[in-house]
Amino acid sequence: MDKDYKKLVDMIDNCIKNGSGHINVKTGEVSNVENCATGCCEGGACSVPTLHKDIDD
Amino acid sequence: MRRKMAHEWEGFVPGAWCDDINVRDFILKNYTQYDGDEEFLTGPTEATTKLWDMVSELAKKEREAGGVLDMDTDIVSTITSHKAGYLDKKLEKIVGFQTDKPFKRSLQPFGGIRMAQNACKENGYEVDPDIVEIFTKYRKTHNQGVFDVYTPEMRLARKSAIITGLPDAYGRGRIIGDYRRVALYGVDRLKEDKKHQLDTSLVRMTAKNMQLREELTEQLRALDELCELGRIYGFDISRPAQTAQEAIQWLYFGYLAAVKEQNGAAMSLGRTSTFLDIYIERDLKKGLITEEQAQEYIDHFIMKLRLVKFARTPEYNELFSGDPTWVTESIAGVGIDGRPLVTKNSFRYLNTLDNLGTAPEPNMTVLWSVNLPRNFKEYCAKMSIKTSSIQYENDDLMRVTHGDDYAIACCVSSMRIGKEMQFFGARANLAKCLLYAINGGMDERLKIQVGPKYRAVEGDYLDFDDVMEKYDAMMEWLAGLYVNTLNVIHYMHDKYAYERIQMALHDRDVKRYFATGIAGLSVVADSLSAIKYAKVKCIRDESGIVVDYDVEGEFPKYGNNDDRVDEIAVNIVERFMDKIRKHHTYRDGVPTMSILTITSNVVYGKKTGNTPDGRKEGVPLAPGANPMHGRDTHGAVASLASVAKLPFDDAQDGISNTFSIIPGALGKDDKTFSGEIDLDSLKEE
Repeated sequence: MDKDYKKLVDMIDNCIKNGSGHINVKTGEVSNVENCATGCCEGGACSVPTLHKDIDD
Repeated sequence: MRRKMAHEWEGFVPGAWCDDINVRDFILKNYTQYDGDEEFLTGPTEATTKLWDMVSELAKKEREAGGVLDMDTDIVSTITSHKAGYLDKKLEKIVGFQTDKPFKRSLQPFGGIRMAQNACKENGYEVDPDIVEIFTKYRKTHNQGVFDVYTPEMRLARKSAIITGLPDAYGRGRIIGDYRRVALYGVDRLKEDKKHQLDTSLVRMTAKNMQLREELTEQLRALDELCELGRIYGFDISRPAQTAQEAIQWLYFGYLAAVKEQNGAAMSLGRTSTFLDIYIERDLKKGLITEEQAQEYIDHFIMKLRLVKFARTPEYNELFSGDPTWVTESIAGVGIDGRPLVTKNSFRYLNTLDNLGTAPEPNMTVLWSVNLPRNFKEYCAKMSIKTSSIQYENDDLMRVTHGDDYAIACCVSSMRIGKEMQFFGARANLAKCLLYAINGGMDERLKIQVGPKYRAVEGDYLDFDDVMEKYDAMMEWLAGLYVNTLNVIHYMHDKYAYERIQMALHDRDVKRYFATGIAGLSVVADSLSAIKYAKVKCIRDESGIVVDYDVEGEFPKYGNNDDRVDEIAVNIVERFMDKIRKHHTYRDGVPTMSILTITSNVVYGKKTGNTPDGRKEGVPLAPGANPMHGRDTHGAVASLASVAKLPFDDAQDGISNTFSIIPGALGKDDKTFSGEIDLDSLKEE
C-alpha cells in the first residue's frame, strides 16, 4: 500500500503535467462501491442523451 | 461604501469582502493552509453511525421497492412547498430534505409535465390529475415551449440523433449558485445587494432589459423563500452564520433550495470545503468545538448531499447505472498567489468516504496541481485506492482561464462561482455528420433525408479531398442547426423554468458560456485517416445509400502520437468550433465546446451506422477524446500525447480523456483505460 499510493501520486502528477484534463482512478476491487456513477462520468450527467422518448415520435 | 463588521464576523480578517459580495476575497484573507497529513482525522460519532445505519436501511428498502421508495404526486416542489423533514431530529447536526421525509422524490413539472408523469407512472405512481391539468392547460412548461418552437428539421435531427442529449424535457442543470454567500452574508444582505442591482438596472424597456429586471425580481422572491425555508427548519438565515455548524447549515439551505426547484442532470455544489474550514478553524481556536464535532458536521452535511434524489424515468436510471445527481464538490487547487488551497477540511470531506463508506455522491473532485502539498496528494491517492470514489481535474490547466475560485459542474465544466454560468450544450455527433456528408444528408439508418440534400459521393472509392469538401459543408449545416436548437432550449428554459435561487446567488452581470459538445471525434479522425492513407471502398444498399465500407490497407490511427492522424483530429475540432462561433448565441453566450461524452458514447454508437474506419454499426463511439478501444497500440503515453494536441482554446468546456488507472499493488498489473501504462516511461517524462 505504501509504495502503491506514492506511485499513484507520481502517476497523477505526470498525467497532469502531460495535459490530461480528467482522470479517474479505479482500484481493482470495487465491490464496496455502491454503484459506479462516479466512475469518470459513467452514468454522468454530462452524457445525458435525449431521454424523453415519444414526444416527437 | 464602507460597512462595519457584522458581529458574526468577529475574528475574521476584514477586506473587500466586507463591503462587497466577494467570497473569494474572504477565503484568501482568512483560510489556514494545511500541509500536514491525515493523522488529525477522526472516525464517525455514534450519532453519525446511527444516522447512516438508518440511511442504509432506507436505501435497502428503496432497492427492494424497485428503485423508488416514495414519490410526491400532488405537491409541486418549490423552495417552501414542504414542512420540515428529518431522519432523526435529535441526532442530525445538519438538517433539511427536498420533501417532508428522506427518500421521497419530489414532483418537479416545470421542466416538463410529461417527464414528471412518466417518472411517476414507471414507478407505479400517478401524478394528481389536477396538477396535470394545471401544467397542460394553464401553466406552460419548458418542454412544451421548446416543442412549440422546434422546426421539423430540429425534430428530425433529434430523432436521428445527429444532435442528442438535449435538455428539452427537464432542468438543464450545470448552474452553480454561490451557496457560500448565504453563510457569509445572510439572506438580508444578499437581498439588499440584489435590490441595488435592480435599482441600478436599465429602465429603457427593451426585451433584454425587461428580462433582466424580471429575473432580478424573481431572484429577490426566491431569496425571501430561502429565508422561509430556514424558518421552516427553525433557523433565522437572514443574518450571517455565526458558527461552523451554522455556516454549513446556511450553505446547505442555499443548495437545498436549488434542488427543491430544479432537477437538472448536474446539480453541482461548488467549492465549499476551504470556505467552511475558516469557520471550523475559528470555532476550534475558540474552543467551541472539537475535531470530532467538526468531522461530525461534515459527515452529516455529506450525508444530506448523498440523499439528494430526483424522480427520473427508468431508462434514465438504466443508462446511468443508478440515479446520479452530480453533486460535484471541487476540493483543493492552488491560488493564483501560489498558495495551495488545501485545508484540514479538504481532508475531512474525503474522510467521509471512510466514515460513511464509499458512494458516488457527492462527486468528490480534487483540483489537482503538481504544487499541492505532498501529504494531501498522498492522502488522495490512499483514498482513491481504497474507494475509487475520487475524480481529478487539472487545476494547473483551468486556473489560467478561471482563476482560483472556480468549480466544476458535472464532471469537467469549469466556471467561476457566482460570476459565470453555463448553458448546457448536449452533443453533435460528428461521426454521423461524416456519414451524412457521404450520403448527401440521408440518414444511413432511418433512410430518410435529415440533412440538406447535397450531392452524395460517387464512385466505388472515397476520395479524401472530395469527402473533406462535403464534410465541411455538412458540418457548416450541423453547426448552425445545433446552435439554433440550443438557442430555443435556453430561451424557453429561462422563460418557463428559470433557476431563480441559483441565479440569486450570482452577480447581476454574469458571463454566460454557451456550451456545445461533440461526439465521435476519434471515429472521424480514423475514418478520414483511412480515406487518406488507405483505400476505402463504398458498399451501397439497393437505394444507393452507402451503408458499409471495405478498408484496404493500413492507416494511422488516432491515439498513437502520430501527427498524420492527430492533425486530422485537431483540424476537425478547430473547424467545427469556428463554425459554431459564426452563429448568434442566446444572450450572447460565449461559445465553448467539450469533447466529453462518456457513457452516452454507447447510445450514440447504437444510432450511428458503419463508419469508414471499419467500425461497425452499433459499436460504441470512443468516450470523450479517447482513441477507439484497442487502437492505441503504442501505450498510454502516446495516447495521452495525441489527446494533448487537441486545442484547449477550441474545447474550453473540457476534453475528457478517460484514463482509469488501476494500481498494481492490488495484485494486478498497472493498466489504463486506453492501453497499458508504462510506469517507468511515465516517470521519465
